[in-house]
Amino acid sequence: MSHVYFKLPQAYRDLGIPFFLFLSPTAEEALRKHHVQETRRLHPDLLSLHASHDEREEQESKLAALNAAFLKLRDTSSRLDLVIDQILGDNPSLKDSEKPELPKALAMEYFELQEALEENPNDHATQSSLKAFHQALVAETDRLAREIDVLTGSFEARISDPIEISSPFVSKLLNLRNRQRYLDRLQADLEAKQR
Amino acid sequence: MAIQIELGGTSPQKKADTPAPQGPVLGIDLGTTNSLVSVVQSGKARVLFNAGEGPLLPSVVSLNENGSVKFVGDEAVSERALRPEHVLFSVKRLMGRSLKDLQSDIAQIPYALEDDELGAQARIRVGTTRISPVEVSAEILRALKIRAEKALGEVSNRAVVTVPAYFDDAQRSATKAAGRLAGLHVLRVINEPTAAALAYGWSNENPGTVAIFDLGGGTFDISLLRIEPNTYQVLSTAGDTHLGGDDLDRALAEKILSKIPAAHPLRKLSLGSRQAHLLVAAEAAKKTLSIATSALISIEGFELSVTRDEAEALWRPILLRAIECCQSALRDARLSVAQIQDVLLVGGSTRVPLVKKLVEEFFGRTANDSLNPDEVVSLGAALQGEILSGRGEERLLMDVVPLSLGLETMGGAVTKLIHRNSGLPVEAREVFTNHSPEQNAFDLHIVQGERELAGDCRSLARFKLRGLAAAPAGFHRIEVLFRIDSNGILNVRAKDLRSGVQQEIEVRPSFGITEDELIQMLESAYEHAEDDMSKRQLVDLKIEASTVIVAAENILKDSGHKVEAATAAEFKARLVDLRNAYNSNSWKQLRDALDTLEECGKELAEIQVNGAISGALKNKDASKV
Repeated sequence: MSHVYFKLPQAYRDLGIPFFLFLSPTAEEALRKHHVQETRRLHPDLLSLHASHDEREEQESKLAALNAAFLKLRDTSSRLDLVIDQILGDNPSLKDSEKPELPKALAMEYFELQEALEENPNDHATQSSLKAFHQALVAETDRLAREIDVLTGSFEARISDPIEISSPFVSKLLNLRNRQRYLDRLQADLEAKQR
Repeated sequence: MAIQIELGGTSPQKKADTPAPQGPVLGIDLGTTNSLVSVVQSGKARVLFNAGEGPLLPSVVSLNENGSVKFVGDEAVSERALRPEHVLFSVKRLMGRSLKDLQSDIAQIPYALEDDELGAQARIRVGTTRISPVEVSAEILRALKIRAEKALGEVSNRAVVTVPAYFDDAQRSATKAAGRLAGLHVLRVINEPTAAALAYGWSNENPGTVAIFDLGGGTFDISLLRIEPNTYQVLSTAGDTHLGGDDLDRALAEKILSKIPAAHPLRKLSLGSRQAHLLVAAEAAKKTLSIATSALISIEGFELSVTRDEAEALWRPILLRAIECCQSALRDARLSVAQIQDVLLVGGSTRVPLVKKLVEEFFGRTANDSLNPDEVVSLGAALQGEILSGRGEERLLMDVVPLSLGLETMGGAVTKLIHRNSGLPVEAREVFTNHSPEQNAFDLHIVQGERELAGDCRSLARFKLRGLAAAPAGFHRIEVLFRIDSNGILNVRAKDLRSGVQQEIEVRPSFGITEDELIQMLESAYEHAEDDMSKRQLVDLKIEASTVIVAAENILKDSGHKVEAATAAEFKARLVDLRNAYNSNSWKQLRDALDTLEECGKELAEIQVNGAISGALKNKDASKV
């Protein structure tokens, strides 16, 4: 089993966030809290009125970088993208395993549902199977994320340090991203239908 | 190698001189229909107004034939049906907008519009004069400043002014300029729903996620806000700058018009005058329908009864656009309806029962209408002023970018640089490289908006990066940093990654008034301020004179016979002089006449006073008996 190292870009390392928070789909609230805390530390409005122009400028610039970095952390998909892009970028040898597929049965089901929906969008049976499919996908995504949580939870390290990970772990990440993408697409489909 | 940034269309602005702060920071809600001013005193925000005024100042300005300002507020409103082409209302809709932007509104505006030289800002034509919406807004702000100073008893020259969340940079800059013209240093322009949220959160420390549904006269905003102790975080915001109570009025006015018989005299009125009559009647009916199930409309002898059901059928499709915005705000914040703990109704138009009903249906909970929907925005602005003046006790408002910022790419498509609802301040970096050895410059076009094509977004600024030496394709690496600061102002910095040379520029979008024009307007405003001041002094002096005239007449009647005839005659003559001076409207003449009368009336006044004292004593004795 091969091991790889990876390191996030400086902007993210500056955030001081534990590594596992990057990957957990339940981390949104924890990350938001971290964001608020860091903002309170840096926001120019909370600086003393006597602070110099340069001081303000420096805080403002740090906060602008922080806010830009946090945009990528707002949802699981973009967090996964960030980590995976970095891992694959740092470890070109891993690129072969880049494209794990959605399990065939699941993929078939998805496309059949899509077709059925296009032909007869108001069919009750189709809609309820779509819902069931959605739920199954959510469950599967959660299960994978939890597995990853368990693996990364043991990483005491913050993301400022390079982390050593195994290639099966990378596969798990890729699998999770893959499902997350389907889930996002499905969510968008469902919302479009609602409107 | 030195690279240069060159701006096209807009000019980089010099930093304006900041005046010495005076008085508390005013919180101003500059509304489409009404405006308010508030201030924080001992930790509590309150709306400022004086005896004889209501808390709301109608955002209406009437002009004289020569284009000078006649009235601001209620008096201007009362002239609306009489001289519609001289009464300017809903001017907020024109702020930072060109004729092209306003295509869909023009039919509904009774006054004449034309573009300025740059084609950036529509101006209003009244008679032979042109007035910019920025100047009209400045009149409203000036009236609010005077109102506040009168109520406070001190001068105040700083303000936080609110704008709809969906105002773009041009509209925000136009608002800031209006403040400057009114003699106010605008510390910050903040979003109306954010201000409302701040007012709500200030007194409500329960942590949670709330939705602020703000339907005003002309604009709609929805904001989702996370409240934590001392921190108010805007999660997302969405809205429609062309959706408000005015639209409900117009829908109803059209319905009324369709029922007016062709032969009715109303049909013969000028378009502007008829529209004004219809809108006034429609607005009144809307208000009645908020408390009754039917309303009787009566215009110049034409009568029509409208039921609430009929009106709601007209309004529903308009209001459903607001609900769509709510969906989009939830999506952006990655929240579901179930995660919203309170829905706050803000803006006068939320008094319409159908609004409340649709909101409650969508959010699946009772809407919170406990705050005064008219006042809450201005109160919140005053609270933000308190924070910015360093008296906010560690409270912080975390706001977001309301509209995405993008870069036009080949073929007119837009690459998003900064996504809407990013926390403020925020930055984005792009690295550019040359595509051929001959390329020595880059053209950058920055746009604001959510559309895919640059032509559909609002153009913010054009730059040229120049001075690249001839080099093989891909040789140059220029990093361009775009940063929106806490005040929502865009900074662009270009850095040559090979040489490390930097260039910086601050961009403010064009809103039809150049810096030079603004300075000129400011100077003439100071001149007018002098006129205004002497006018006010004359009014005060006339009041003094009228009481003196009454008192002098009484003295002459009571004590005229107690002095020498010549003295009495002299006094009489001076009184005539005073009356003439009163009608002359000259401050100096009136002051002189008053002084002279006082001088020659000393003897009479003494006798009068003595008489009054002895009379008082007599009365006293009599009462004792």
